[in-house]
Amino acid sequence: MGITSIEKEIEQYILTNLKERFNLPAEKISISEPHPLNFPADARIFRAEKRGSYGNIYYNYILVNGKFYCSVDENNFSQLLATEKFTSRPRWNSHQFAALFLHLVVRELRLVESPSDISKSSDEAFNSRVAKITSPSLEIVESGIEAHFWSYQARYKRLDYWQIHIDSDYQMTYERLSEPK
Amino acid sequence: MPTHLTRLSGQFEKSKTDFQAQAVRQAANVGLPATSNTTAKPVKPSDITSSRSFDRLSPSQKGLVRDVLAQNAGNSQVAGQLKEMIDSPMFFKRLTSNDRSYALNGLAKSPGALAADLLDFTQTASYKGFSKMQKQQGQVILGLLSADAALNPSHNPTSSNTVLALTTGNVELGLPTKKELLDEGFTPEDLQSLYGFAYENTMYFNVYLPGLLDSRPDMVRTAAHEINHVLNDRDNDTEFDTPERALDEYRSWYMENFAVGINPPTVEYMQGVWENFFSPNAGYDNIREVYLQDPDFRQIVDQIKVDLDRGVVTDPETFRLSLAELIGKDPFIKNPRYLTTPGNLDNTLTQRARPAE
Repeated sequence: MGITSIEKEIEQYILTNLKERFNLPAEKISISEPHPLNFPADARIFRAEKRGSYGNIYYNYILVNGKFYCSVDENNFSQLLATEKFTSRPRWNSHQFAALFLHLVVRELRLVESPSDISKSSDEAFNSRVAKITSPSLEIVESGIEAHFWSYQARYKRLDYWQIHIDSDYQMTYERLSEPK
Repeated sequence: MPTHLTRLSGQFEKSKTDFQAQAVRQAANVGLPATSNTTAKPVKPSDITSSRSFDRLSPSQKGLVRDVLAQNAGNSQVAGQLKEMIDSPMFFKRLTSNDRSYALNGLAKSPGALAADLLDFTQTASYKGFSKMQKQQGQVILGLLSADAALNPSHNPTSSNTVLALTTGNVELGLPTKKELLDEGFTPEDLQSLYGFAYENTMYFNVYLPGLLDSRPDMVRTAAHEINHVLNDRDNDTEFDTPERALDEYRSWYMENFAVGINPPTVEYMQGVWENFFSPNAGYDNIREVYLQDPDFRQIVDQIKVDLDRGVVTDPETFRLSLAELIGKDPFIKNPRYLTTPGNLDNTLTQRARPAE
């Protein structure tokens, strides 16, 4: 567990990368390897946390087939899918797709897939949105990829519906909605 | 009428620390009359507009004061705070004209805010290091927090302690630029739902969050939560992936409720916290990881869930004492001192340890 159990070359890659990007010295960084639910078996995630940040400041590094994708990189998710030729080799299911998105594009949101995943509230309008929660979906279509899922941010009771489109050139567009249109 | 000085006096009675004595002196330096809360008669708008202090304001500042008085007609508390601000000796002696405008604007945007909070804030290192835009934003934020603390006495002392931390500079305030936020690892999409965060001795707000200033309870909760991390952790750091980090987070989630008058938090709320920390699809990967890997810790946490399911909320001190019993037995504990130190549950200010030479 913790930095001692991570291979030295991975640790070194992340530390060097953070030094180059943000001039962050190694002694300011702690690295761990969490195991989030629904994460693809052929992917690993490393969390590089800035010391003294009470867990607030961290960078996710996802390793797939020897290549790292960092949460601070623009287009990281599109690049991951393009490199893995996902439309022709769609080996991740809708849950895994959502888990990757929720660690690279936006973070600290829980994937929710049924109304029972969220405690009842006294706010009836909120409850009616909760009632619409469904399992994530993923479709490979002629024009690319269509994915939908719900996320929840417990801190501010924020429930979002994500509608993601990735075209045949792996350009991603997405909408974060309060509920399906 | 509540005043900052009254708050400080209460603090001083509670735990006579050197720091709090210093804070009392600091308030006195602002120049507030010590008896203003008990014997002052209600302030009328004409008391302000006919005063010498008013004459010294710039035309735009005079317009702002008149607007505030008109919008809060009959509210002697608002008029009283305006008068207290412009009559304060430091207002003209130590503040630039821009600073005066920002402080008045803070009061104008948040009727009920205390003049002393906004004036104190101008003397902090955070404020002095801000750009003009940040100073203006900072005073709007302070005004919101101050008004909430003053207008909702049931939220005290947590809410007023939180304001005190920022207005005395015990905890610094940061208003990062978008680039700084991205450099700190937040993704552009994170910024759409990030209110604030803490790092070392500073509480940061994300001014790019749409509606930040329109959601006062969320802002008050955020400040109380993040400052609680700072006060508990800054001299007693918790390592990632440890039971003590989980406790630190649990305590902050629990106590932020106090700042909005909910004490203790509801069972429903704490069930949500438990899910967010320890359930299979937890929002906190690192806390979930400790739960998965540390059987001793898991046993305690599972008991918290059992208790929640029968309607009993575990308070952070009970959680801490349970974890403290694992010291020496649980290899996942990295900082035993954190578990043997009583937690700060209401953001009572503590003397910050001097950084190592």
